This record gives sequence, C-alpha cells and structure tokens, in this order.
Amino acid sequence: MSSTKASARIAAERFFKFLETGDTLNLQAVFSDSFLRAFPIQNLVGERENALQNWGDFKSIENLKFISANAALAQISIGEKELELYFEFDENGKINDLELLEQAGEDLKPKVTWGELGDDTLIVFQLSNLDKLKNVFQKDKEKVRLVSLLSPT
Amino acid sequence: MLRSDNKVAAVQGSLEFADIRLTYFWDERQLTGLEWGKILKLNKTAWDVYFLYGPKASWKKSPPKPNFWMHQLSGCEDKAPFLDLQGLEVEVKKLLSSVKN
Repeated sequence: MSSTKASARIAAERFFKFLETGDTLNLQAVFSDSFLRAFPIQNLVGERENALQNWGDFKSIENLKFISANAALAQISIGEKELELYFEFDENGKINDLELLEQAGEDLKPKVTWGELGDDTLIVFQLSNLDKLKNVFQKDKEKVRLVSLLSPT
Repeated sequence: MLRSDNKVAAVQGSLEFADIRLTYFWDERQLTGLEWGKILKLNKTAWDVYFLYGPKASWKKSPPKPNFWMHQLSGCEDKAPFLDLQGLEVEVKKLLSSVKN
C-alpha cells in the first residue's frame, strides 16, 4: 500500500471517529486546506448534529474500500438509513472531498441478474449455495489454496 | 458489496487474470462473506479478504479457518494483517515450501 493510501485510510478512520463520537480534537489535520476553506470544521459539526437529530444514532461505519488511487467508499448505517460515504483524497492523503450518498436498500442489489446475462457465460459460476465452492476447495486438497472474497468493482 | 457490483462486472474482473487453476464465482447473495464473517468472528461480512490454506485444510461442515489471511477492512486490525502483497507472497512461499518438503 502506498504511503498516500495509508495516510488516506488514517484520515478516513479519524473522520469515522468524529462521526461516531463528535470528537473534533485535531480533526482539521485530516482535511486539505481547500476543503477546510470551503467547509470549516464547525460546518461539519453542524451537519453531524443535523444527521443525528433527523435520522438517529450512528449504528455502524465500515468497509472502507478504495475505488481508485485517491477515492474510497464506506458504508454507514444511521438510524434506519443505509448511506454511502464517498471520499476523495489529495496527494498527501488528506480528505479533499466528502459526499454522503443516500441509497435505498434495493440499490445494493445487483442491477443485472444471471438470467438477463444468459447462461452461455462459463467463465464465472453463479454461487447459489456453498456446495459448489466446497467441491472446488476439496478437489484441490493436498495443495496450497488461495481464496479471495472480492467486490468485482 | 458495492452498488456497482453485478455479474457483468464479475465476468469482466475474471478476464483480468485468467489461469486454468483459478475458479471464479459470482456470489450475488454474499453467502461466502457471511460464512467467513462468522468463522473469523468479524461481526461483519467478510470481503476484500485473502485466505491462504495449506494442503491439510479440509472443508467438512463449514469452511476451515485459514492458515493465514490478510484483509482491507477497517475495524479488523486486531484480527489479521492489512493486505501487503509482499507479505502475502512470503506466506504463500512458506506454505508451498512446506508441501515440497
């Protein structure tokens, strides 16, 4: 992992701490100067308070996932809402942009189904239960195996 | 796990690295993430995780715990190391050498 990405991860996790606890001590250090000019810490505090009043308590913030060298997504559960938090980082790994994206639960489901794609694709097997994976795993017994669970995007 | 995930993306992803020893699955219902999340006591769905299994590992009722694993998950720092490709390569080689010996 590059040092910028490592710094970006630390910045995002410090921001998560702010969301969960309201702690603003040294919070400005994780944002770029241009972000702070456009959106001072006090505005973030106000936005957080509005979210808590309107939606309820933060339940979880997890799965920080880099989608490019300088952008990442995290999933936030607040009250009954499931949200996506989009981060953009500058070259020093500081937060340069933030967007809270509201999404309905349905949006999390894949938009293209197996049936729509057709059955002629043999490269990737649909996993309707774990038996298929178990068979492949056991077929390679006596060998070293690597299993990765990844988002395709 | 992401809004943009779908089977087309899974197929496209599989084309980036093809090898006869590899098998790709599209896990629409996140069955694997839920199962390994339980096994590793993550209290969350496992994804962006990399599990290494030695030759003796056998899947009976449930998948076995990996011999070694890495991840890119926040909040799991105490469970396993964060993904580091060189570190992962070292562990792969260790396991492979144990088979050869």
